[in-house]
Amino acid sequence: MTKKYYLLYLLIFSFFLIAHNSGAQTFKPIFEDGEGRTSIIAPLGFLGVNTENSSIRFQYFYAKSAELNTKIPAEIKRNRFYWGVDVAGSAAGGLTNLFSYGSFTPGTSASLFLGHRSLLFPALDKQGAPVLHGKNEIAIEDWLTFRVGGQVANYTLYDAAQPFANQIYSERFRGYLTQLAYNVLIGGATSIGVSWDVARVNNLDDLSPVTFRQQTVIPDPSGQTTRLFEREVNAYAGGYRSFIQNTFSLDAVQYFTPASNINYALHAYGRLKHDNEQPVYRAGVGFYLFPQSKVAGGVFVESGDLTNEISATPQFSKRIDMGLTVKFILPGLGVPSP
Amino acid sequence: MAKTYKVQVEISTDATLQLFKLEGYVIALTRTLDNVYRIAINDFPIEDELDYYVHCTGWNKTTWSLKILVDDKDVTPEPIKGVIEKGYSAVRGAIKF
Repeated sequence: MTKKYYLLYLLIFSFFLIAHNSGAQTFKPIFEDGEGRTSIIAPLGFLGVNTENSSIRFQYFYAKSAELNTKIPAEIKRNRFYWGVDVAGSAAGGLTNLFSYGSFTPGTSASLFLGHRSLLFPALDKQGAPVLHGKNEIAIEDWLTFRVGGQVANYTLYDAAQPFANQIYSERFRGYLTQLAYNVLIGGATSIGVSWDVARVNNLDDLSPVTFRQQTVIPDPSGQTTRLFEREVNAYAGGYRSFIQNTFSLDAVQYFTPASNINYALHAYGRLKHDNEQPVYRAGVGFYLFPQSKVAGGVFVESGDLTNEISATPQFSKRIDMGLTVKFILPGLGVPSP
Repeated sequence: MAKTYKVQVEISTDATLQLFKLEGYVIALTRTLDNVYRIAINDFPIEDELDYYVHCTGWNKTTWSLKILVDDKDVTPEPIKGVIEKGYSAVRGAIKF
């Protein structure tokens, strides 16, 4: 990606800062990498945009507070189970493709979450009193989440090695993802998450977008004139392949709430990806600001290939990408009051 | 015998609502699409004051606000608010109406 995209990101981010520099400031857990992956799964509803993978996402989590235990009246039923849905539409190939070539390849993914909160660290005791830890009496809560998801996308590909008639072809990708994630929140400020996921993915991000002008020549039967029809074709060039990938993720977040009006958070993450070939390490850091109750955003810098296992560029600085995440927390969707 | 009322409760928060009590009764609220926990109860017995208890957990500085309607009348014209510190917020109070 070139500098002009970095400038564009900064411009968009500045706009949100200026447009929403007032109002209440609350925390929104939005931490994810350039591929939209995170092990800090927050049971919260939101509508979000991630420019690095050009995705728009809707998420809703069902949750219920504690209730009376009808079987044991002296105790409460803590209702720690939750479930959620997540639907995302994305433009595969990222913003470079979107802006440079004027078209993008749509993809859709959907996930279902099942989870259990307060697994190792109960927030409530069985009588309903808060459980606090340490001298400072802080609360600790945790979530264990199992996620299953699928992805559908159609790509136009170009392969110069094929016979001429078959060089441009469509590929329908069917991906899936299963993820098991555990994350803990300590004292409302420090969060650590680990996850393992198995996914069927493809190497589209490594392919080069190309544009062709396809001409059809129709000669006049008399041979006097010819008519040329021209059509622009956007495709990805290179050896396309899909494969099964195991990813181990580690995320750490520290959230700062100074006395001033600006709250911010730092996110550091690492990924270890295993497919049939050599393992690839991906790592990055993110910086997030929370300027207004319904909007949160941040920038992140990451290297998709930290130890240069698969990149063609040995120079580390050229293996670094930058992305922007902005999330709009769902406004009232017209859900009627009971 | 306490008089009974129709009671509607809304707690808006991005945090996790762990426990809500009204007049000492534990009442389960369910989160809806817009991150508001809600419930409506018919024939809820209330003495002179309405005692409430809210316990939320989550990220610091996350706020919650409680709104209660009794017989369709808002008894919290100024919503009752709380903020999470050290990972939680547990607040008890009473509303006169």
